[in-house]
Amino acid sequence: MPDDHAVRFEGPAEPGLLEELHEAFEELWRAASDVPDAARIRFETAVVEVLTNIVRHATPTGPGPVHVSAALRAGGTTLDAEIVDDATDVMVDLEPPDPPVLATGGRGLLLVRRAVDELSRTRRGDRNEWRLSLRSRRQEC
Amino acid sequence: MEYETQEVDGTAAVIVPRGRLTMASAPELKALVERAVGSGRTLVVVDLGETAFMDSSGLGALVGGLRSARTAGGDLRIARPTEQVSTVLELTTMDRVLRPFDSVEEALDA
Repeated sequence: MPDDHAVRFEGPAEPGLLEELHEAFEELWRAASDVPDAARIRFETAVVEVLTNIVRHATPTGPGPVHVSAALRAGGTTLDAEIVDDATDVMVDLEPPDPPVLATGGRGLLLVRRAVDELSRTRRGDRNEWRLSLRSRRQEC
Repeated sequence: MEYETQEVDGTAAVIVPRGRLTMASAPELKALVERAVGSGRTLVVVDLGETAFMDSSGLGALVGGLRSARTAGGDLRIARPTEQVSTVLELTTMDRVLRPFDSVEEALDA
């Protein structure tokens, strides 16, 4: 079974955090180079979408910016992400319908749900926890 | 992210986004398409061969550009999507609306 690899980062929910996510993925894929391309692409696409959603829409409960911490993990049979923010609680429809064909928005969470095998968002205390999981068997090296 | 716009002739333009077409860079793509359409180049081909990554904002900019082009009597076509871009188009079923062409030339001639 290949080794597990995990990358963590945290920071304010601002556009620069998406750059950190990009760098975190580069680090993860360097370490877990045996993850098949198709799985890598689906997982990264979904996680970028969730973090973008937080950066765009999360509302802080206090005066400071929303704080986000994220962990990405490539295990032997799954790719997992956990993203935790301290924003206000909002209703998020994790199973949105397809928008009209020529709508310019409304496809973000739809894309996430179809890209990964599991997607959940849980309110735990004063935090929102997003979890994404994609089953992918890595090649033995 | 960098954009290059090539004016093919008075009626067509090719836009080449290089890098990551995401929330930060998508508005510029939409503006470039609108500028091309506004100058009479209502056939716009977006060459995605060097677009390493696209999110739903990037997809939204392509759809917005398609709408602008169609409103002006033209079209927006995409060419040479990378594997990640193709994945986004397929998962959202938007490959039915933005049908990818294998080359810029095919997209211009279709």
